[in-house]
Amino acid sequence: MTEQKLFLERVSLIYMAPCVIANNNVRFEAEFSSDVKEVMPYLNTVIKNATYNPEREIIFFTKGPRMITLRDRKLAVQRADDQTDAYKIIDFVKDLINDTYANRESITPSYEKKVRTSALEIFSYLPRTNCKLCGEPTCLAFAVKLLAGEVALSACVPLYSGEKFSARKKEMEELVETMGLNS
Amino acid sequence: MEKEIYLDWSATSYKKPTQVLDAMISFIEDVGVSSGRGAYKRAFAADNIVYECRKEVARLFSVSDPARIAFTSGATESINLLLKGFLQPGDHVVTTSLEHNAVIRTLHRLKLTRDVDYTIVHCDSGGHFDLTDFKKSVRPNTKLFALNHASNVIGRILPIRAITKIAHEHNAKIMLDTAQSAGSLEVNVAELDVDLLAFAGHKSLLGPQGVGGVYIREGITLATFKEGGTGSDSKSRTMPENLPERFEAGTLNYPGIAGLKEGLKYINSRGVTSIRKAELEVIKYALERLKALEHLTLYGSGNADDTVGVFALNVKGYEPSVVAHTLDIEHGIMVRSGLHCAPLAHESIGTLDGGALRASIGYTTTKHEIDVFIDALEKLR
Repeated sequence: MTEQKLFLERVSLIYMAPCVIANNNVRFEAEFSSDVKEVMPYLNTVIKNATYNPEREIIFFTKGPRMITLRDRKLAVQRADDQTDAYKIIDFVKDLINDTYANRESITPSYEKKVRTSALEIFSYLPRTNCKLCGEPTCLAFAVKLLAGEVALSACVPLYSGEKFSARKKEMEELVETMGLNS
Repeated sequence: MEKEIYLDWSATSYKKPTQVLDAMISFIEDVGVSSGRGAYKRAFAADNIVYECRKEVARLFSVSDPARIAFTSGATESINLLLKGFLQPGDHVVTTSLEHNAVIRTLHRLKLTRDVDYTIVHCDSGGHFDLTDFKKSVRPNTKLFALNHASNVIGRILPIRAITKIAHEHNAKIMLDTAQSAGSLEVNVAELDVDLLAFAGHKSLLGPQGVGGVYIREGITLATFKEGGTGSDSKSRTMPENLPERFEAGTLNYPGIAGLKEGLKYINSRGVTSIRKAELEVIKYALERLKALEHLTLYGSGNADDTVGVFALNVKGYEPSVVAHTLDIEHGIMVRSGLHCAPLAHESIGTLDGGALRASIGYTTTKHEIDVFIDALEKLR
């Protein structure tokens, strides 16, 4: 392998908190030493399950239960096992970005907007109260319509009322934005 | 007197590479704080050092998941954690006569308090084991083989792979004490097929005293050795299941881990194979010269290939403590005398009554230092 400068020298953990979605898990944020925008079209090709929004310049993908979002110089991860897992994911993402950048000449970049997620996945992020206040019979039905672009996230009443789901709301908004769906 | 010569490396490595000291000073001076958990950037910097050290340990032992490594205060705590966490009432353990008291006393305590029994497999005076003795020691309730990789008295390297095979054929696990091997001998947990491993940070891994750790193979669940804060799942009254947090209650020895990380980096970048090759040269030379002194009794196999840099000997007509004192006062040579916390090993080599002199080398020991040591021994005729 030819020696070349790494695209990312450092990825520094800057925030960690208990996960709002799953019990006993953590969410965290880390800062990239460089903006990763220019690697995104290559990552869009390399990461098989990537959801890519070229206008917003966000990439979202999952690794097991972990939800990973890359944006500018920020890495945001939900549902990491624990702190050691957070460091392992940081290493994984750093290597992924550095390897993709190093091999970019042999990768066909994809600027295509892709939504690779399922209604079931979106459902798993919702409050799952089945309150019917959005007009749908179940949260799963709401997730199907959200993915189809037929309803907006803001129609989810529990998510937008009170503090209970405020952290989750922020995450859902980010996801919906990444996926280019109606917020 | 020439400058001081340190030949007590198997107790603690000295001196450490300067980057070990620099990292410790830098930690206290520039980072200084404890674990983060979402608090502030500097706390994450402290955690990051711990994770980097975990990775270096994993790299040294060829462990794919750094989370399977937990830090402790040293090999003794590691061995206590592993044995007390693994063994259940009614279990039987196979161990050897070359074990340190960290293993023997822990097993004996479990015998007295937890109805755990153990069988000691004895080696001959050269440190050689008859493998059939291990097979013969197995009982239907044998759950564990607890043994060291290399003896802290005679330096003898045990045939781990062959013993592991016997243990696993009988559905028993292996707990390997690498206090005398890690850093100077290759320890690959997959190749050796080891289930539980204890290591010391302050010996050949070149870290400071007060840090060590364990490796626990995936799929093995141990009871906790101590309970306390982990910074995670704090509402729960029980320790978390996930590693390493399950075994790291309380504030870790951050400066120690920062130092150990640099020791490991040095070892990993130089490569254990290359360190062993260099040490082997000195071991061969030392054995050759020691064997030529007919007023000495040299214990162990006398063969460099199955020995780490630890030599046990006696000077005829002198008590070992007198020899050690003379070497120190008259020649500035630091060696140890006594039983080295391994009485059964002394029983095996026939020195339980008077003990022996122990000289041990490290990564910077030179042939010249061996010459000075030999010359000093020559004067004790």
